[in-house]
Amino acid sequence: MKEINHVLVFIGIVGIGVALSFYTVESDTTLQYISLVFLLLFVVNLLARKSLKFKGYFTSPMNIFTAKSKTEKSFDISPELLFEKMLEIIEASPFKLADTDAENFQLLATTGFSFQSWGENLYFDIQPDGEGSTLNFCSASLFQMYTWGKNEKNAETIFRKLEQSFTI
Amino acid sequence: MGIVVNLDVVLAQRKMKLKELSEQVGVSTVNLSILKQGKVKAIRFSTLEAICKVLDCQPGDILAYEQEDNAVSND
Repeated sequence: MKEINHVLVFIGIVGIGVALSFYTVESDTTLQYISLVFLLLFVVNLLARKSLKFKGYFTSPMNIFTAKSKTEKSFDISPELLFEKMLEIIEASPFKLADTDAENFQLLATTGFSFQSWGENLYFDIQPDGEGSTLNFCSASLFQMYTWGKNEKNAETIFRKLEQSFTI
Repeated sequence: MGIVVNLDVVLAQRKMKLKELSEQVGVSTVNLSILKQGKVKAIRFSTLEAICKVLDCQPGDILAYEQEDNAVSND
């Protein structure tokens, strides 16, 4: 089912591309300006991705240029321990640790470029929850509206590794 | 859970810090802290063996089974 969705989206994107090319073929300047705006946005996102300060920008529902996937899970260990554990897990994963905020228990990791996406920003926000803690995870694409299931795959990888790490 | 982890008791008897145990066993302090709190899902025989070797103790010194209070008796 997921593969069918990806194929439909791919056909849709190609269709929009063909339609845009067909209607803008006579006005090259407009197309150039649009391309320039998209290129600038991409560069801005590329520069801003490695800091937790821009978390709101990437994860905001108003930002239509980034696809997002949010997951929440509770654990019965303290936020301090979960924060340390997340550091270990990210270090042992294919993801790259980009920024941390130990006071607020926040982490940012990034993924590399692939055929499916330009890369994603992985935001971890650990909140105290009684004697335990809650992990709010958000995978946001760098600059694309559809990630071909990459965000969901990132969440699956992180939570699988986290579950496995409770066997020592 | 009825399994109680007495790692802190054994560590206190040996006058050993968690960090020292971590370095000698090769398991991170985070994981040993979680084990100490009894919050791990499972423990590998290899980890248990390494801990017992370093602390010079038996698995039963670290792990114990305690009857839960809300257990229903058939008698």
